[in-house]
Amino acid sequence: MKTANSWIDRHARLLFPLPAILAIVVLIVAPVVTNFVLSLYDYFVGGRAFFVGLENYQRAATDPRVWNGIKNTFYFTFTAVPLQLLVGIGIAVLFNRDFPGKGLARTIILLPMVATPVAIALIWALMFNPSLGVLNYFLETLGLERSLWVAQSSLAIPSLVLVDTWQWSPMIALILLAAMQGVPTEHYEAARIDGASGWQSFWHITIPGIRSAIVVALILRAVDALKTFDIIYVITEGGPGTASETLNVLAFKTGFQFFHAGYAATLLIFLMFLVLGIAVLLNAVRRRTT
Amino acid sequence: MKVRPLRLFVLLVLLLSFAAASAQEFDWRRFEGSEIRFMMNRHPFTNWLEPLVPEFEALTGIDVNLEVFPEDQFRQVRLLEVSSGADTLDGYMIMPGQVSAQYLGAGWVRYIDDLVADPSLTMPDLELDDFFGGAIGTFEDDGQLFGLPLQIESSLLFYRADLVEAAGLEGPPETMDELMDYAAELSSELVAGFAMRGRGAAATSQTVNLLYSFGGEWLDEDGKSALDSPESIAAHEFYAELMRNYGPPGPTNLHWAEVTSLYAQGQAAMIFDANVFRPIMEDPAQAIDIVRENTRYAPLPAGPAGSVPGVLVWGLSINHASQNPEASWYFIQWALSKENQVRLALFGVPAARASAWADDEFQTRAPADWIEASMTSFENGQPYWNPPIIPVAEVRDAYGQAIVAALEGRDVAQALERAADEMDRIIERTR
Repeated sequence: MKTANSWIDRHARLLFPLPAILAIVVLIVAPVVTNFVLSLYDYFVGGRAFFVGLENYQRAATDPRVWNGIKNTFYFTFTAVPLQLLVGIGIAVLFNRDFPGKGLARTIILLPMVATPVAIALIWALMFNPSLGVLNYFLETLGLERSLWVAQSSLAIPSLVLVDTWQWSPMIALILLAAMQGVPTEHYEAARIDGASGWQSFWHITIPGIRSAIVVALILRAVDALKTFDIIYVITEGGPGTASETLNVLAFKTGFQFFHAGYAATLLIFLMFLVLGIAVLLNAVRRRTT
Repeated sequence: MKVRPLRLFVLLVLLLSFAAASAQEFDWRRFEGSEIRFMMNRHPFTNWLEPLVPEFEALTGIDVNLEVFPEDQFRQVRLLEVSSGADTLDGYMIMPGQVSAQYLGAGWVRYIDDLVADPSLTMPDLELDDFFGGAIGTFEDDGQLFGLPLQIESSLLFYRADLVEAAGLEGPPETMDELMDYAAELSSELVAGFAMRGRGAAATSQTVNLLYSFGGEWLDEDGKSALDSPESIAAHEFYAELMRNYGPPGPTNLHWAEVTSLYAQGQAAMIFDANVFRPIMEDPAQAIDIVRENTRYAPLPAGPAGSVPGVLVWGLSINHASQNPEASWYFIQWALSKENQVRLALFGVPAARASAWADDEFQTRAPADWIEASMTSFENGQPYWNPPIIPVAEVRDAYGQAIVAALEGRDVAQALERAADEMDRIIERTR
């Protein structure tokens, strides 16, 4: 027994993290490697697979639909995330003070985040309907013109951004609210004594105080937004045409509808580097701010 | 050479039994004791069939195992089993319009002509002519039969008789030109004159009706895309004009759910979509009163090449590797017999036999014009509501891009040329 114990003691450094390492290998490393290998094949599901080397990559680099997908991915992410940040800060500021019914209001505002994405996407799809949807009814009641929403190519992504913002602003608010409550109240008292306005104390105390939380929220949301699939697929299927087809949606269609598993794997490698790049970039920003 | 009496005896018995068999009449109990396994889609047909299987087992003494999966999984599992060549699977449900190119190309179905031709294996009242032309046509491959149809669907024109009458028109439009005129007359600020699907790939199963009625086809004689043929361009220019001028706002958003609910809510005077959506127009929870009272049905209006609707057909086939083709054939004949097709029709599934549609009780279940329009479509139908090639979804997607372009007012000929090029590339890639 003694010898076994000492063996464990000597190798504790390796043994303790072993389960975690195994989990990472099985759940992350293995799929990524498999995916990379798959991306080197021309594999039509149900038919035979041929090794083609980097041909899929060459094809993807010159495929206008892939570039359209990348463009839409960026367009969606870089409109949705900043918008959510603004709305999220607003909500956090609101909930950082006391008012009657605050607990209830906070629960309600968090609901979009916990709802099933496919279910809410279906409901939004109904609301967007240009002829029967409730959104156009509201617009008309307000004396505004009807909109085609997702039925018009140029409005498809902005409409999806609206849904994503509705769903995910509460998460940003939650992160920022926690950070705001960590800002020492003495700072605000000192500022008030010095005659600072509410705006000034928000701008010079609150924002610097929650800066690192903002960056964390941005990283989480940006990485998530780049990979958005459910609401886009359910509401527009990437349409009209390819107007809202992100790289993720294109890869899904390529793999699971068109059955070109190899090419789909290639597209997902593209997406992986895209997400990785943005995450590294934002992380560098975070290091500088803290 | 020494003759072994036992061998001789066996040979004699075999010869005698063969002679007896060839002279044999059709006998349901001939394959008593066999066991067969069929793979089924979780379709209303299967729901209807499952409780009746013991009837077949009692009649024939053949044991039947049905393996049922939801449609998406069903396709995957069937593909897996059939392509592996496993001989434990005897038969399966199949939608030829979807997979016949793949299954015939790979030799995964067993042709049944030899079984049909053998009077000792085929029941006397099978009557192949009783199946609608459009239904059994989907199971014909160069004159050879590879299965039998169990159900058939097609699309119809749904129209509001009250609006047609108020506009001073008579009956349904019978030609494409009339359809355009009617749509113009019937459209107003609040009501679209006409609506059909426009949502890219999902719309192709409906626009293909126009394609064929204008004389177009999916493929030309060389197996290349014919989506950019003059007939196809004419069909899609007609479609774009009809939808852009008289359709609802945002036509690129229209899937069947949008099309049928627009009509059910009284916001479209005519629609063209699958005949199986009739119950929506009769349901007080979904359709407003005036729609429920005034809906009439007519076949697809005739284009320059006539009225050529696409038909969607499910049926049963025998697996190429099956060790019990005869027992499987017994099961298919029984499941799709005249009596059982009537029972299926009364159960609510559109049967593939004309005699089931002519049944007195069934006639009382649906409006006469719906039955008549449906039967006309089934007889004239063509099976290729999907392109007759393997990468169906990818081609529908490419074609769908052209449909969206047409609806957005871009050049139709150009959009179709691009779709045809893409389709040729897709065919080339998966060859």
